[in-house]
Amino acid sequence: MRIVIAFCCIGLSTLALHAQEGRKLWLSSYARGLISTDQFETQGQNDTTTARNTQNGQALVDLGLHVQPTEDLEIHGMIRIRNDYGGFWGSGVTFDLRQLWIRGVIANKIRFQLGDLDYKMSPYTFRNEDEWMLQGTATMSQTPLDMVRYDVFQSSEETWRQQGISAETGFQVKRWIDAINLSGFATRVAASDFGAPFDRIYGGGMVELTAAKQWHLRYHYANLFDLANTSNAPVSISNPVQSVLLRHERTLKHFDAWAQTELGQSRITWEGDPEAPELEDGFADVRLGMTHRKSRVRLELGWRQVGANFRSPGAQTKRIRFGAAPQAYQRYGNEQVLRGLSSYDLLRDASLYNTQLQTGLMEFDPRYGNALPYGTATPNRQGVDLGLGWSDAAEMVELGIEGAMLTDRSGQGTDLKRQFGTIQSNAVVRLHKVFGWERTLELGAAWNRESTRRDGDPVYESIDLDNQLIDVHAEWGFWKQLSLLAEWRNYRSDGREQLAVRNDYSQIIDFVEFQSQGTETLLGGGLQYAFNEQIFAQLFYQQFSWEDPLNGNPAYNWGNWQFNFVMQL
Amino acid sequence: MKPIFRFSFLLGVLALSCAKPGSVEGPLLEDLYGDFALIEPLEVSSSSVDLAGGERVYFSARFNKTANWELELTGLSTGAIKRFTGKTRSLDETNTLWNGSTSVFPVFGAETVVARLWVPEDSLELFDTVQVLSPKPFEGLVMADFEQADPAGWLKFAQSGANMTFARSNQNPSAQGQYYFDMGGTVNWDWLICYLYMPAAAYPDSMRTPNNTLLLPGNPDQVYLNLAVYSPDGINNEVLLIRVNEDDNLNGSFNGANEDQYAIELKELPAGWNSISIPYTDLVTLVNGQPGTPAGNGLREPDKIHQVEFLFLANPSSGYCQVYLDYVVFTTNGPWEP
Repeated sequence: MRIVIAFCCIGLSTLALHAQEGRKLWLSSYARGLISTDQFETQGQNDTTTARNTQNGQALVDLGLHVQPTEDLEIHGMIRIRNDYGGFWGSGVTFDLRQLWIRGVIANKIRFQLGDLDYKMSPYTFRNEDEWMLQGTATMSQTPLDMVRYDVFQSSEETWRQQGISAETGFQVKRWIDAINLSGFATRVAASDFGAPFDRIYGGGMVELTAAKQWHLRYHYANLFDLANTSNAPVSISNPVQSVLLRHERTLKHFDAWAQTELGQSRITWEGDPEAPELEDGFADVRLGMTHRKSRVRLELGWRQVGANFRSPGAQTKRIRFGAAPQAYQRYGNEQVLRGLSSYDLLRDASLYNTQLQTGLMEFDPRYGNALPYGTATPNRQGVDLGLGWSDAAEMVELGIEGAMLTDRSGQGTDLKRQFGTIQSNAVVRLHKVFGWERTLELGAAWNRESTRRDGDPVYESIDLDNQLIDVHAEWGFWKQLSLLAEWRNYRSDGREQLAVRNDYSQIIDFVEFQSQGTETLLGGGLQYAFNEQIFAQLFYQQFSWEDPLNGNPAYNWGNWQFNFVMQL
Repeated sequence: MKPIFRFSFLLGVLALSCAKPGSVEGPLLEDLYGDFALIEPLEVSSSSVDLAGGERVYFSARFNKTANWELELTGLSTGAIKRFTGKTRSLDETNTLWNGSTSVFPVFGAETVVARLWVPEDSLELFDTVQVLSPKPFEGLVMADFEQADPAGWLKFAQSGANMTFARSNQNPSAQGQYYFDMGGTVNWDWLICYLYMPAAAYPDSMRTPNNTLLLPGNPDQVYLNLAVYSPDGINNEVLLIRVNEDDNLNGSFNGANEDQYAIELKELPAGWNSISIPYTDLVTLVNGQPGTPAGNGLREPDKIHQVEFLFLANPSSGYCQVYLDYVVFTTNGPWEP
C-alpha cells in the first residue's frame, strides 16, 4: 500500500509539472473481467467428495502512467487493481505494482532502460521460447492463454522479463564497416537475504558489426552468476555462455535470401564445491532461408548440433513449471488422488508458469514435448529442420509447416541414440475472402506431432513415444461485430520413454520408465463481440475430458462456462 | 543463388564439431535393467602367497554388466574373515588386492583361505582357494600380544570380587595368535575391577630409551595406540580406561602432580572382537572421567611415555563385567591394519 501511495504522490506531482511546464503525461491500461463456472465430473465412480460446481471470477485493471519530463526521458509505472468476486466493500481488492521502469537517451547517443525490462538475444543465449504443446491454439483457447501470458510477462516476442538495467548505442563507420551496435544488460535474478542465497545476477550483451548492408557479425555474451560476498553459502555458481553469429543477406532476382551460422559454447562451474563437475560444451547452428517474392513462398532449412553439456539458462529455462500442482481441483475422486496438470490447466492457470531464469535443466513432462523440451537450445541434439510457409497476397489462405529430424548427440544410458521427429503444421482459410462474402467465415486447423524412437533391448532400451495435437476451429461473423466461435482440440500422448533423472549438477544419474496413453480433448463453442480490435467480450462453454489408463488416476470431464471482457489500450 | 549456397557451405564447415563428440550420458541402462551374466569365473592370481615376504594376491571375475558383489575370504584354521565389496563390471587388481589383512578377527595365519564371490542380483556363488604360506607381519611397537608369559615388570592388581578372571587365556578365539588377556568379575563396592600397568622399563632396550620411555616419535600426530578388545554378548557395563603417563622431565619416573597423563575411556563396545585405533592426539587428560588440565607441560609427547595403564572399571551396582584384551601396539604414520 505504501508503494501505491508513493506512486500516487509521484503521479500527482507529475501532473502538477505538466500543468506548469507543459511536460507530457499519458495513461495506458489493460482491463479484463472474467466470470467462470466449472463443472467437474469424475468418471467411473459416484464421486461424492469433489466439489462438482465451482465459481470464480475477477475484475482487473492495470493502470499505467507514463510521464515524459523531458524529450529524452520517460517514466512508467503500472498498478494492478484486482477485485476477486465475492469480496464486499473492497475486502477482496488487491493493489500491486505490476511494473516500473525509466528509460531515456543520454546525450542522444545511449539509450537505456532501468527497472523492468524485456530482453532477448539469440535462441542459444537468451530467448524465452514458446512451449511446443501450446502452439496452434485458436481464438477460444488463445484468449485465456493470452490472459495467463500477459500476467506472467510472456509473449510471442520471446523475451524474458527481468529487473535491472539495459543500454544500447550505435556508431556509423565510414570505411569497411557500416555500423557498430552495442547493447548490454545486467539484471538481478535472485536476492540475497544475507544468509544462504547469493545475489544472483544475469548479465551480458551483444556487439554487432554490419558491413555492406549484407553482412552481420554478432557476438553474444550472457552469464548467470552469484555475486561474491553477498552470502555465507560456501558454493557459488557461474554459467557464462557466448556465441558468434554471422549472417549474410542477399536480394536476388526472384528471391530474398539469407544464410547464417551461430557457434557458441557454455561453461558452468560450482565454486567451492569439490564434488561438482565443470560442464563445458558447445553448439553449432547453420541456417539458410529464402522467400520467393512473386509466389510468397518462404523456405528455411537448418542444421544444428548442441552438446550434451551445453547449459544456457537464458535459453533453456522453461516457461512452464512441470513440477507444480494445478490450482483447480488439486485432488479429485472419492480417494482424493492428486490431479496432475493437463493441457487445459496450461490454458488457464498462471501459477504453473515460470517467471525467472533457472540454473541447470528444469523438470519437463515428456507428454507435452519430448523432442525439444528446452527449445532450440535443448542439449544433446543434432539434426536438420525445415520450414515452409505460404500465404496469398489477399491473405485468403495461410499455410505453414515446420519439421525437424534430430538424434541424440550422446546416447542416454546406451550407445544407441534416440531419433526425434517433429512436425508442426497449420492452415487458415478465410472463406469470406475466397467467395467474396460479406460475413466473415474463417476455418483453421493445426496438426503438431512429435515422435521419439530408439531400438535396442525391448525391456529397457527401446523407446517409442508419440505426442500429437490436433486443433480445428471456426469463426463466423454472423451479425455485425458478433461472431460465433467453435474449437475442437485433441491431444494424445502414447508410448514409453526412459526419463533421465538428473542431480543438482544437471547430470544424469538414473532413468525412470515413463509410460503414457493419455488423451485430452477440449470441445467448445461460444460468442464473441468485438467492440474494436483492442476490446472484445466472449461468452463460451468448453468441455474438457482427460483419460490415461496407464496413469492410475480416474478419467474426468471438466466443463467450463466463461464470460470474459478484455480491453487493452 | 550460388553465393548464398557457397556461403552456407562455408558456414557449415565452420560450424562442424563445435559441440563435443558424443559419449554415453548417465549410467548404462544395461547396468540398471539388463539381465546378469557371468563372463569370466572367479580366479585367484596365485594359488599360494607368502604374505610375510611381501607377496599379494588378487581375485578376478568379469560380468556382462555392473553389479553389486561381495568377496569373502575365510581362513579355514583361524576363522578369520576378510571382505571386499564393490559395484563394478569386474573384479581385478584394483578392487580385490589382498595383503593378508582381516575384516573380522582373528587375523589370518598360515592356512588355507577359501574365497567366496557372491552376486546377490543373480544369487551367484563362486569359490576358489589360496594357500597362505606365511601370515602378514605387523609393524609397530608391540606392548603386548599375550602369547608368552607376562613380562616381569608389569604391575597387576585385581579386586577379590566374585567370578574374577584376570589372566592370559586361550579358552576362546583370540584376535591375534592364540592368547588374549581375560579381565572380568563382579566388584560391588568399587568401580575398579582390575588393572594392568605396562611400564616402559619392563621392555627390552630395543623398545625403550635410557630414560625408560618408549622408543616412539615425539610428534603426536604420527602415533596411534591400537588394541583389540573383545566384549562378550550381553555385557554393556564395561569401562576400559586407558592411561598414558609421560615422564615430562625425563627423570625416569612419573609424578602425577607435575607431569602429563593422557587417557581415554572405551565404553559400550559392540559384541565380539573390536579393532581400536586411537590417534595419540585424541587422548585427553581425565579427572574422574571428565576432561581436565594436564599437570605437566601440557604437550602430548609420545617419546616420553613412561607407562601405559589399562584399568578395567564397571559401575559397582551393574553386576558382572568382562572384556578380553589383545595385541596392544603403537604404530606410526597410520593406524594398525590387522
